[in-house]
Amino acid sequence: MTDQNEEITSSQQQALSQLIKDLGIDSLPQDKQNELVIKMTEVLLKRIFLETMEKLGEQGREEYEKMSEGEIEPEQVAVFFKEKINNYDGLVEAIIQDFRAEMLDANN
Amino acid sequence: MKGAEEPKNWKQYYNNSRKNLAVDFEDVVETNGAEKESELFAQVQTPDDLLEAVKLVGEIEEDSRKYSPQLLEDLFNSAKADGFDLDKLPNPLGFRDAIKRVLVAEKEQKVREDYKNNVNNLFAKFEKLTTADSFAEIFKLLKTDANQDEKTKKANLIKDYNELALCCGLAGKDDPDNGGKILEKVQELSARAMEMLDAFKAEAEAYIKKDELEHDKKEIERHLLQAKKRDTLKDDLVVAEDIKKDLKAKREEREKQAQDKRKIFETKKTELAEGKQQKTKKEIDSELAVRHAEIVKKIAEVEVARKAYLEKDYEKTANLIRIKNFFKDGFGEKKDAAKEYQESSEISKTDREILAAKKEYDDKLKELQILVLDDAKKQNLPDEKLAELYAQFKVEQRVTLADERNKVKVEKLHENKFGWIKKAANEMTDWYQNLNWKYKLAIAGGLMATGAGVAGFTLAGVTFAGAGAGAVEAFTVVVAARRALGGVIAGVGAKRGLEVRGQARDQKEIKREQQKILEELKKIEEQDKKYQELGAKFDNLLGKDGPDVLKKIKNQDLRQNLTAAATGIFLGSGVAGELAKMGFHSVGYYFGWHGGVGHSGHQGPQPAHLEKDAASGAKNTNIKAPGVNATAEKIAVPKVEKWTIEKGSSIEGTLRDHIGKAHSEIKNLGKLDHDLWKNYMTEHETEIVEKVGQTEYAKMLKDGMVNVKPGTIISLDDSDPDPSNWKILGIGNEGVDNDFSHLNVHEHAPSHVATVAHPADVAEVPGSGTGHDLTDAAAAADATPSPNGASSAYNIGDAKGHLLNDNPLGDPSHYGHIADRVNDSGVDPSGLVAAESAVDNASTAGEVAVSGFSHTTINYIFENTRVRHFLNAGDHRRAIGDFRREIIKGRNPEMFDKIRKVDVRELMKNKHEFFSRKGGKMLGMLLKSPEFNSEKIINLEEITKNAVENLDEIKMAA
Repeated sequence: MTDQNEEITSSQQQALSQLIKDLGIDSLPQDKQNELVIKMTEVLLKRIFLETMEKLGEQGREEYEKMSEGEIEPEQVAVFFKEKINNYDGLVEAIIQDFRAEMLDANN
Repeated sequence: MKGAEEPKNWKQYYNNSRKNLAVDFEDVVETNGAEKESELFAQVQTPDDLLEAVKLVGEIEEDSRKYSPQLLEDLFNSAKADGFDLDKLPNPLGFRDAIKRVLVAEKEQKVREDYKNNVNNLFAKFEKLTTADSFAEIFKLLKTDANQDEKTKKANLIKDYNELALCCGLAGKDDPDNGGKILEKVQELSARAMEMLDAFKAEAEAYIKKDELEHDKKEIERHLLQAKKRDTLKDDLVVAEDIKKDLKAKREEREKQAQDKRKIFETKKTELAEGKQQKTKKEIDSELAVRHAEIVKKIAEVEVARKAYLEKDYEKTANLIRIKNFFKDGFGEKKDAAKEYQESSEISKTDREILAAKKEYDDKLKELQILVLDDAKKQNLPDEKLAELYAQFKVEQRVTLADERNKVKVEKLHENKFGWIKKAANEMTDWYQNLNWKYKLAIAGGLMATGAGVAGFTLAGVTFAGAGAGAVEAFTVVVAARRALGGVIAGVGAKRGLEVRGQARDQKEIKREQQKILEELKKIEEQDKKYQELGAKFDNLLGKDGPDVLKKIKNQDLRQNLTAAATGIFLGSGVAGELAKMGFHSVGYYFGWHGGVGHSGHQGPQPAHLEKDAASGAKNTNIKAPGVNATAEKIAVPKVEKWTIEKGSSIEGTLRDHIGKAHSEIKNLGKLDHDLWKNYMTEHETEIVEKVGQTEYAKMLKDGMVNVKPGTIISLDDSDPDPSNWKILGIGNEGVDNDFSHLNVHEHAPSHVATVAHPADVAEVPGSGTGHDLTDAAAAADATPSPNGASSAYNIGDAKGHLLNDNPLGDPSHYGHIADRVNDSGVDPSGLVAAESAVDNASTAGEVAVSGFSHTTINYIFENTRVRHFLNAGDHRRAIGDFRREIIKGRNPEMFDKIRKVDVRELMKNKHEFFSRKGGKMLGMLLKSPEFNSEKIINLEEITKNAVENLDEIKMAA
């Protein structure tokens, strides 16, 4: 795993490095750092998905379920979310910020 | 860390450790104790063995008495001294027995050696006897002139015969291996040897003392006897050889036994030594086992506390949000998902019960942390490792907490009817887990590493821009990041759809194609030339077989996974640019997204571009490959926004509405809108002055009251990431710029007029001709310095006066104006509250009459206010405050108008059903919630009851 990050662009690496530093895990081995960051992202993605489903409401979830059973393109789903959830982009961003704060709080 | 299998988490590690150590500990119980030490002493054969064993066993404690190795060695040395009574020695672990055995063996060995030597001597003499010359011959020789040496040799024989007599007696040389007796055969040999010697002696004497004849006669007899003896001796020699062999065999047997015993001793010694080491280790391990068992127990406690906290958090938050929504729904307020999420987050951080549960969890976690670090310290981890462990522990626990929060939500929210959501959530996790690490980290970077708000995304924007999207502005990156998320979630749905579609396809053919590509992908990945070769592969596919081939593999796992990956990646992350510049940009088409991943209108593959881009893209990070364009075009915010001012809205209201929707992160929209307006006015002063004159311009600039026609278009450049750099490009329509004029607040605004700061279509209040007078008051108040120096602060005294005297509720736009001024001033938040209070005050009976406002409406507001007061004591203040503000500010003029025109009857009629249906449900929920004490519950019951009764009245009246 040592050379993994060499393959990411330097600017991405920089952003990730900053995050890792903010998290206070920069002294850990590289693979452990990556493992933690990846796990965090996994949890975050799941949270976004669940919050999205919650905000869709019962009717919206039923529609989404039907929609996803048929032919559907990602863009359609994105449009669907934005139609059904007021300020969906804001919601996603709020989740991210909240989650990030939650993770960074670990370093306090 | 113990065990061949690397534990995957803390819990697993300590569980494994505890189990392993428990097994080891059982071993210790089985093999521990003095058994091995006793066994070692039992195998001691020599003094050296004994001393070695003493050292190895170490201190012995028996019958409350301690025997050090030195004491035991001294006792042994004393025992070796003659006359020491061995029975007086202590016998810890068989020590005395060992000494006795060693000393007896020493003595026996000496006796055995003596006996062996004697017997061997006997046999040696026997051999000489059997070959000895007669004495006569010897003496004859001695009388001759023979060589002196020969004479000496013969004379020595006589001497030897004398010695033979000494050694054949075997006195006191008992055989230790024959019960202390000399073997019978040896005795016979010895007797015959003595007889033989006697015969020699007699011969010698006879030769010396008798005459020749007599001598000859005797000599003949002697020779006969001698011959006879010799024959016997020859037989005896055979016996002697047998005896010697027997002795040798016995000796070898003894040596073998000694060697075996030695081996046993060595084995026991090793066992004891290992046992000693094991004992030491297990003494340590038993401590470790205790510690780890405690940690495992604490982990379980943490898990229980965490679950309790998260469940409490979920239940309380969900309940309180339901209550909020109840009131919001009741008053027709539109939900804002982001706001609702933030509210629930805020509840989690402020609710006492939730905080208490969290504290319980935090305390347990802290205890666990102390145990874990203590354990690490006792395992002698260096300081830097401890620091790493500490950091890792805390972050891992945070991640676990977040993960568990998701699980609780899934359990609570979707456990029954929407079980598929759990599956879909897991699919998303699987999808992410199965990505290449590079994608994982890229997505992590796109989401997690972006920091707060626009500024944070700006940092990441460098990444994305540098990754191939060209000079993508930071603001665009915000959108890109959002879109990436939308895409990720959409990806799950897409995959589900693809799975359904895939069922109807030709599986065999598809599988073959899929396998082929998978193999190549694997190979490519191994060679670390993924992008280039994959791009080339797609080119080849496109060039050779065309889209049909792609359709065949469209719905397979490969496609699905890559679709999902690409969804997240292409829709906004920096990897999109990276892939695109490597010639990956045809993937969108390959996946069947004929519009490209960003529905840019990019129609299908363009091989020529592929080659060109692939060749140059690697070096040029700003290259605009089709895929990048697709993404960038889709996600970029237009440079110029054009918004139409609707009837009933205003310039600032229009700006606020549209900017608010597009940029929820901007907090103080009022200030931004006002600044945009003022900047525009300043920047276009010349043109505006030319159009409306200096006086009008000054008025507009001063109070912001502007007539503007509905349908007028505002053009805004909001492309700069910093909103303070945005600017209005124009206000007008059909080629006419600055199509507005100052609103004379003393006059009724024409119905077609919109304003900067308050809505258009300012209708007259029925039965009142003074609907706009409050505007005057507000405008006057603007000019009145506030106590804190703010020029535009709202004067509550004046406002109240106008409220009471001038039919305050007649024109909702006035409240909008008041609120705007208060809000824009940014210095008098209490003014807004005061304005609300003024409305509240107007609900008294006397004021109702003055205001001309209907009793029912006042009741409605009154009850609403009571509810608000009640909720102000809880966590709902902001939500209700916002709602009130919405009404007062005129953001919801329709609602307000309904109230004013007593259309509220119809509204209430509908709401009555709402109240009846949901009120009971909500009260039941509240009753279960410990946050509400009985007094408050009663209050709320009364409030709700009153509200319902009022509604009944309304219904009846209607």
